[in-house]
Amino acid sequence: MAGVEYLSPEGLRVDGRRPPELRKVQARLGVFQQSDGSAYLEHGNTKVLATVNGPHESTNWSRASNDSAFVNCQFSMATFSTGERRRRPKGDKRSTEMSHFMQDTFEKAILTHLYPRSQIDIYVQILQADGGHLAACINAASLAVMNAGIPMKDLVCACSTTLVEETAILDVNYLEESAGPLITMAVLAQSGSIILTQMERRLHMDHLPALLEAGAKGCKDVSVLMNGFLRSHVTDQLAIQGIPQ
Amino acid sequence: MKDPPSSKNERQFVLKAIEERKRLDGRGIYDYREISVNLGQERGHVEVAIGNTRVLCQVSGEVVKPPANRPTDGLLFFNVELSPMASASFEPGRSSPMAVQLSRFLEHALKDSRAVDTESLCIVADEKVWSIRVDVHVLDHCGGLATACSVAAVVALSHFRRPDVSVVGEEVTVHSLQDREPVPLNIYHMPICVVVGFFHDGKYLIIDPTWQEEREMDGSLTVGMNVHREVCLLSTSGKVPLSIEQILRCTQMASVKVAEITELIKKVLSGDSVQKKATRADIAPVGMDTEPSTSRPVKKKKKKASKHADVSIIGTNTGGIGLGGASAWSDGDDADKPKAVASVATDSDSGDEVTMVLNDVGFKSSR
Repeated sequence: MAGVEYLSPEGLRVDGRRPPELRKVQARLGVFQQSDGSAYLEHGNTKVLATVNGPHESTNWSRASNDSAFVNCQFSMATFSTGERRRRPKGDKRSTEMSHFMQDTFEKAILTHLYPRSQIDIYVQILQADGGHLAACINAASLAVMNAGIPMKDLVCACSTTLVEETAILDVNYLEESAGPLITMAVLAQSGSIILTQMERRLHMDHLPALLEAGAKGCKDVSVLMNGFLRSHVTDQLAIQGIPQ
Repeated sequence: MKDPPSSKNERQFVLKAIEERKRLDGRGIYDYREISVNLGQERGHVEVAIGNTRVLCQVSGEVVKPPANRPTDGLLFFNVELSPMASASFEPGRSSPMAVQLSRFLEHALKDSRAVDTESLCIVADEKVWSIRVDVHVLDHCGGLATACSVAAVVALSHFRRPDVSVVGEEVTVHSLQDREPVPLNIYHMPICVVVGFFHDGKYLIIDPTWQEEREMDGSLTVGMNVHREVCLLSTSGKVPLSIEQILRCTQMASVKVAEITELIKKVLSGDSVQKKATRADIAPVGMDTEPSTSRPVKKKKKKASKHADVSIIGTNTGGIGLGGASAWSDGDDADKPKAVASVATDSDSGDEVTMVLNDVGFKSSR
């Protein structure tokens, strides 16, 4: 979009943030009773709901493995999530691709070898789409998996980043998504090792290191926030059950 | 049918070889297999082979109405078919995740990175645009599918020619391939995907894993780049987490490989265009005064419509009108064969009406 000033001369983005600032992240865990684990996460205006069921008996024998659980992810965007109400078919390529990325990410993080021949289902639904969808979904799913009590190597934190006028900006919103190459990164919180890198559009090689570094830093900031959510949730639960801490 | 897991022996053999920096087919760890690109007779048809991996790509175009939200852009579709021919683990019909992933790779690398100019595909805004469809069929899966598919798609798009279109006011004329020289698509750059496989928890890496190596690898990174060192696609897969240094190192290696592969592609395309120019020079355009040779009747152009087509008599019982020479099937006298020679009277203006009068040989044809 010509004419949109992604970075003002003072260094402010379209919504008034500075380049390395994330949007306001809010989360609630255990929002559903029926599923083993659930989480609701907001990245600014992007609102995502994630539920986890499992580990349970595998319903898909062809994918069941004798030595590990397999992670079954399903991604969907609600019809009312974008500005125009658009019905998205279940099996369309974009959804399948996102589901595949999430499955890839969580198979690396969850200790699947503890649950052979079983299946872990992760369902993610975007309620309001304002950019940074894959990152928000991964974060929400990560909290939901924690809520379900499924052991993971570490918390999975994701962040989206793009390059605008030689500056890397973090946690892109819908407007900024079309500004340049979009990279979504997911890392394991403590070690910082990257378990997902997904890039769209073109980017010159020379800009890649800066963008990857910025993405890693963004993920680290997200991990701090997510740790805070987990701790406050556990504290609240203990208080509700009357257990002195 | 699910792929049977590899035996312990096979797995250990492959891993040990990687540890000793050896590949099963004797390549170096950074070497690509031999890439061969074969262009078909038809425009937009190409077959690519990387070692034993073979893919076939066909590009086709048609005029459609554009979607409401993008009235001035042409459409570009990518589809990768994994047929059971390629591997027993591919099921017919159902679209597997791998097929979707490869299609999405092509979409990211070629469509999202603006490799093809879609604005030039617009004919009349909001009414008619070109819809270009790229179909890649995997014929034999021996590893490195992302590279094979991207090379095939890029070459096929560069090779493809769409019919020329002229717009006069409200009227749109799509010229046939004989009328006007078909027009190539605008290709800005050629993104090629390079697959890097990681072994031993990311300690060792190889470029262009074969199918056996793909089975044992811990993780992979697919880098799509073009010759201008722009990264168009970056996608991780598998079980091993990576570090930023590893990703950057892979992009460095990929840029070298992409330069080599693009060199090969350009050579193939220029070789083909030279060949096509040479064959066109052999067939001289038909003039009104030239006598058509009896052995090779020449088809007349629509613009220079003549009153009637000339019939050439080839052999005892055979006459020919139009393209094609003597029939290869008749090789002797056949008394039963009907002896007929047809003369054709055509309307010079429309060229549509054709009246055929069948005569016996020896009679004068009526006009």
